[in-house]
Amino acid sequence: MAKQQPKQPVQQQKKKEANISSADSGAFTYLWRNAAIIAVLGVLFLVIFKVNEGPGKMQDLYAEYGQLRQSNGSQQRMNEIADEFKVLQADTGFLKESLRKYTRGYYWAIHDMAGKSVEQIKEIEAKIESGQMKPLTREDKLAYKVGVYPLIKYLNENTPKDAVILLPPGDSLLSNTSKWNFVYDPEWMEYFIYPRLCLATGRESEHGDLAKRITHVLIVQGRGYDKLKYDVPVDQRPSEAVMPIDHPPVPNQTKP
Amino acid sequence: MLTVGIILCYLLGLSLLLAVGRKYTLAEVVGYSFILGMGLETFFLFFLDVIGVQYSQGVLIALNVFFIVAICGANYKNLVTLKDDYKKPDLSLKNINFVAVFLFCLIAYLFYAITVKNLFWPPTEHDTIGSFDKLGRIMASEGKLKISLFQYNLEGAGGLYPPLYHGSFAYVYIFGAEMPKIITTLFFVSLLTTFYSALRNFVGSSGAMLATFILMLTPELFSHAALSLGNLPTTACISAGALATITWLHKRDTKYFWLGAIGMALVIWIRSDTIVFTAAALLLVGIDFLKTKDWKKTIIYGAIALAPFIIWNLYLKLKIGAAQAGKFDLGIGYNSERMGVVSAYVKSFLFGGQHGAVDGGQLFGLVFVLFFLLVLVNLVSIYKLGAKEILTGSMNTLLFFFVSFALYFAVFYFINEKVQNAPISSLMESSFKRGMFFFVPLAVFYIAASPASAWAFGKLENFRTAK
Repeated sequence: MAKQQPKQPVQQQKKKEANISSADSGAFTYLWRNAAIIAVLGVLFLVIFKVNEGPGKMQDLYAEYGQLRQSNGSQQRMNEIADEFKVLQADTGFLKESLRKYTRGYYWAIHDMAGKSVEQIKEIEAKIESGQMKPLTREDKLAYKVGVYPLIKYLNENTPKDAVILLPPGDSLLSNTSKWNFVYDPEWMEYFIYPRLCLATGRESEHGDLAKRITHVLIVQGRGYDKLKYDVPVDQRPSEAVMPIDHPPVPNQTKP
Repeated sequence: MLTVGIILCYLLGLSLLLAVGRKYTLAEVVGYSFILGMGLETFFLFFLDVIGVQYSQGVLIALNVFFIVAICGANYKNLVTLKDDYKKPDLSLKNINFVAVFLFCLIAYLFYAITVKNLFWPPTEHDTIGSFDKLGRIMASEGKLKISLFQYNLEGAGGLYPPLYHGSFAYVYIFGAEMPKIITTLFFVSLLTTFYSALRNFVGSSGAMLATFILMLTPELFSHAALSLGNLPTTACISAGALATITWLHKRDTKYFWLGAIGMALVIWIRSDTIVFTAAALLLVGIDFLKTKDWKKTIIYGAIALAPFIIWNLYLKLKIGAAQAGKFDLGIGYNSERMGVVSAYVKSFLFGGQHGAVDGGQLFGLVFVLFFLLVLVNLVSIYKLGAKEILTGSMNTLLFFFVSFALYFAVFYFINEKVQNAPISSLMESSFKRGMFFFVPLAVFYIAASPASAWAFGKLENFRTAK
């Protein structure tokens, strides 16, 4: 017993060291196994990204080509794009196409929806910070996204809050072009012009009470003058305007 | 003031959450607090309209404070012992799941990116301009639910929808928001956190995080996290209600019973046609009743889940003066042409095919294909894991998915094109497409928690932890 006593701390020390070394190797094993799974996931994500990069790039090239063609841009660049497009188009194969079928949406979500949007917003914010652009208000952003917003703004500036507006008819002349958005749709227009009210041309009989209260007519593409109760000389008819239904507008009305 | 409004909403939800249960994970607290809180806020807006009190910040703050104090007061005994339930997390190296941390970082980055986009641009989608955002803005300015535009039929299609979605817009406008899109972001957070927490009851955090990543990145769903349409918030409610119900039936933890019932109630407080999900939930609870004979819980669940539907339809009939009738044409019976059109679209959505303007692979990626693959894998693995394990382990999820899907299919099969003022192909390419979101969490839940996948994730976890 007496002889063994001094050995005990040594044994304990060795045990501790063994535990520490086993814990170290355990931690190392734990780390590399976690890293291995992360690496496998990373490679998988990378493969999906790379497989879809070509078709994604094709869209960008297509857009650039269209822009160059419209603006009569550099013919050399257009040829380069055409060549690159051919190379990307030829990059097919059963496996690649099968993978693309189910994964191109993910590429679009990450690359276009998330990545490009953040890039675009950061560019705008950088321009604002450097003073190249004034800070954007909600109205500026609406004008950027909604093509017909300047006309709507003009309408709001030139009509009283209790006005009732007759909208242009929603036929193919307006509804088949994105320029006018949904200017003929009263439910859509009401969002922008509230508390003013509006009514669709051709649906006056559905809302007789509102039809009787029409105060203004929204003229788009020169149409709607026939709804006015007075005559406007043909050479004085702007293609876009908001006109009082009963009497000619006051001279200080702004232009759209 | 907007921050105050959102904090009050979370606190209100949290007080209700703690009243129906005690122990919650952080993900559950974040996810359910908002959904329950906003559900209650819109009930407040509804009842204020019914009793003729105009909305204002003061009225809402007073109501919130009163109910938070009242709920916490009634739950005082539980709350004082709460701190004993929470232990400090052990942050030693071997307790950190690096795979889950890696996936969490990817989710966090993508969430940041889509949120930057969402909060930068104002709402411009046709349906929100023509309806939801318009309703929310004008509700806040006129101080009532039945806004003046109802008089001229200018409220838009969403005017007949129950008020959870546009009511939440009104709520943030009342508290001074310039744009309502913070609501999309908060519902998106709730969708991800409630989904992750429900899945954690069945699989480890690596598997749950991977499934949450797949759910989040479902292309069409992800794009809606930057829009202000009602489909993503509806998906959040359906996911929370359905998965809590499935968890309750499996784990028998009472808090999930209440979360399931309230969640399913909110499902029809946001859209009426989602009653197909409430019907599926009631079927599951009904089957469970046959086993347990617990009539009390069955009745309570049914009453809570169906109450909003009855309340809203009464409101439509008595106050708005509009009933949701004539939407369906049951007289068509079996029409092979209609069946062909609807089936062709459904096939392209579910199996990644192309039909008309629909490209299923682009819209929903791998989700539904993996779902059906896992159904097959589970059937095959009956040999390895046993029929009982396979059938009891995931039957509720499958039943919920297929029953609600069959009913949803029937809704579109019988829809009246004339009343909708659109051909069936157009309805399938827009409304049905967006409605497919509702099934994504259920499908991904099954992909990750089915017996075969739970077995595979278990193996992966053993490898990861070197066991």
